[in-house]
Amino acid sequence: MENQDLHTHHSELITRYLSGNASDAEVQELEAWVLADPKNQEVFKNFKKAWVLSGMKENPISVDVDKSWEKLMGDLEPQAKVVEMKKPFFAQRWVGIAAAVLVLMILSIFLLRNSLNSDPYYAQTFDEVEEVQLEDGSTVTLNQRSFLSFANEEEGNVRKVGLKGDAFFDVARDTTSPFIIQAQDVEIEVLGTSFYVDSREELGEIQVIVESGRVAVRSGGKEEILTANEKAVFTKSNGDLNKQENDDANYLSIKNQTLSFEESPLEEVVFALQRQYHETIEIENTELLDCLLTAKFSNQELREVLDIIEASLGVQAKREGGKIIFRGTCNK
Amino acid sequence: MSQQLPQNSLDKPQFEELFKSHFAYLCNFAKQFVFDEEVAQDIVQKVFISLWEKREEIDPTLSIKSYLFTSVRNKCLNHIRDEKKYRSQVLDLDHADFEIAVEEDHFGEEELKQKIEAALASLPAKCREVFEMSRFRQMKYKEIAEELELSQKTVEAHMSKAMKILREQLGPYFWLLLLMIKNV
Repeated sequence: MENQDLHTHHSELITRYLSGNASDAEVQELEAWVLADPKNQEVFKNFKKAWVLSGMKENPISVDVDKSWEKLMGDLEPQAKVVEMKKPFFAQRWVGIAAAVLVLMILSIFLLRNSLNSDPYYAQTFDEVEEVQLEDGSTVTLNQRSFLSFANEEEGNVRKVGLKGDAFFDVARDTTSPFIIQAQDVEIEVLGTSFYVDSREELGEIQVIVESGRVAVRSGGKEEILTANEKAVFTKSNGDLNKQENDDANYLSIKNQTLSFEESPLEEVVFALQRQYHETIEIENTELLDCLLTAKFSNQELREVLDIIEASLGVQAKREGGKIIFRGTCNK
Repeated sequence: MSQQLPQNSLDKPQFEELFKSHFAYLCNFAKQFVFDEEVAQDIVQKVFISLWEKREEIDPTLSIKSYLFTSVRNKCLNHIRDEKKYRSQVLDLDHADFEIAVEEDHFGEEELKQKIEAALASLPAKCREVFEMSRFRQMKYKEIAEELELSQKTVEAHMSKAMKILREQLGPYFWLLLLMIKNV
């Protein structure tokens, strides 16, 4: 039997916290107590469940279901129309099914995880960006042509995933279970934070860029600890691992679909566009490398983006063969 | 009546039925996390939109309800994280908090409400009154103490007692209640 006084004290503290009566100092005290022991965390969770559940007694919200339904239909209609106009019913259905097969795994894996317990799982993307929810609450935004594998069973209380390609990680905090990513020769370890990992095979480097929190990056016995807005660069050819200030303003683009350039050289722009749109883009003449672009794009088609770059720099971007080529000279 | 899951993908009448029968309840569920009715409704709307968009990918052998509950919960936690609307990152943002696995789509919301009602009914009268003022009217201990002419210490004692009883009665069953066994 645990100490009765202690027990009462913490019951009161938890109840105060849940009911919105705890002071900042009490919140901190409770945090420390919950983090100190998994058993305490269990106690806290049971209280929280009871609290949430008791609130579900009635629907106190004045929800207008019919109105909400109409609103939902309004949001869905436009997309449905476009699809219907483009393709006859059968084609649409088959295309839908074919596309579904690609992503089916991702969703069903997530849903299946509770019922099946042994096999390793994976999520694979082709021409789409996919948000993968892991069992621990972490979210991985997987860029096009990437692959994420994750083992369901915990090895010594470690959350472990493998990555090919690039992805943005938003790892749910769990101080008792480190989250480890294996990206080719680089191992990344965190407790709970958000960061981007670029391990695309076609590039000569593997990069890790941290948005928030603290991340350990390791390779061949070397280790770098990164905090917000720092970047680790691993050079594949010689195995070097270095830390530097982040200079990639667009590393969040696969997640927020936004590209932003401020006096950025065309070379950097091309790097960001290739990652975002997975097209091969080349710059024909070297004097174009230093053309400076200031622009912001949000959720736009590549062609639209290229048109804007053409207009603002006075260059041409033409599709030739499987690539897009920039040529001309820029306005000065 | 229990709902039968479609054999392949969700069609529009089924989707409408699902929406109309669960929307209000899911909004209430979301509100337990985000505390704001408008935000709660917004989140549930978004979850239904993504369900509709992914309808052909949903495995018919899996429960759409567990998908809905889990998605709503995750989106709520993401919301409070993104908006920094938490009092404590450790305590408010625990993603592993609830295992919402509904294996069968038989799910009686009325039944769940009755269980909660029964648990509340088992509290001593004063204790229940105090608890409901805090839980459903969001009153602070101090306000409850003033209205009922009790000391804050007494209010706190009632709250602790209520939580102890509810936790015993509801805590272990949270999962089971959502699972709701089969419809009787």
